[in-house]
Amino acid sequence: MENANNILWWIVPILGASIWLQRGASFMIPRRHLERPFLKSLNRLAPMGIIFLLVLIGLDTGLSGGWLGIAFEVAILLALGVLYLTTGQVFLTILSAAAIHWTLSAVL
Amino acid sequence: MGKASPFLPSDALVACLPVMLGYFPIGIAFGIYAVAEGLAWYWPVILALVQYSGAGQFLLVALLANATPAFGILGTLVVLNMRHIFYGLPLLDSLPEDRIQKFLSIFWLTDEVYSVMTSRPAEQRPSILWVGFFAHLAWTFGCVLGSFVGQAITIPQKSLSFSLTALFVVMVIEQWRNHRTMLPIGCALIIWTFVGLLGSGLQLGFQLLIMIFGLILVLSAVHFLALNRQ
Repeated sequence: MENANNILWWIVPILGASIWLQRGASFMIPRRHLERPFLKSLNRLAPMGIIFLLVLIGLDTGLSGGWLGIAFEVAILLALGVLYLTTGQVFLTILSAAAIHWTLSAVL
Repeated sequence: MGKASPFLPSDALVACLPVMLGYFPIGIAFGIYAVAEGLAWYWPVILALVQYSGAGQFLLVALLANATPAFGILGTLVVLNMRHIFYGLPLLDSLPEDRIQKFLSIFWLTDEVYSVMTSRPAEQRPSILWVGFFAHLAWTFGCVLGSFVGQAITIPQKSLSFSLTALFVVMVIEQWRNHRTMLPIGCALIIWTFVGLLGSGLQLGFQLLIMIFGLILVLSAVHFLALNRQ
């Protein structure tokens, strides 16, 4: 991650500026531009898809090898999803994920 | 535009308390995760102060860990944060008049601050400046604490990555609750399989980049197809 530490020095100010511009867009850009259907549609659909891609690429965390391992992890993630839906607690869910993974990787 | 809020900082603190209680522990989790992924201890703090975007910060570290090229990281985060473009619309009259206060209020307009502000009628809203300030304070303190805790304890890398995946599951659930559509999930699954089969020789960062831009292309195509049908 040494390279990452170097990238961050120039990428973070750009990210900071871009997020400020995005948050301030509706105060600066005429409303008719913001209400373009394409922009609204992409805003509605893209973040969900991107985050789901990250779920998919994060699946192989070495609990057990191959597709069986991935199926196992999917089952745990589904259970964690149910836990979140039941409790509504983000921190409890991610803490449980780390604890379950740590326990199972010690056992398996 | 801009009306001075008659409400005191204490009103904002009361309104913002649930947000602070949520931000603080997740900030700690972010600090621990970023340090465990190999970032220097000060990065979680700088990111909290300059980038200040919960999901964006986690995503940034995940993309860096997957060696995604810098332009891909920038593009992905701009798309992820696109929702913020629309947040100001119902709050046009809630911004303070002072330029510095206005600048800060805009920077502090996160998902949760938006929720706190828009869940009340316009005349009963607390000061957006103070709500934003308290939320940012809780988030930054969480990140600072997490970055120190992350240096002091050792959590197995794989377990930490798995908890991040669980966090992304939570985000997907939240997105689904807001938009009630499975289309992005279906598209992402197809693209993931496709790129996984054809691009298995590529570095993971490039695979992810292709997947993200492929997804945006497919979703754009779906939008225009639906538009043509109408």
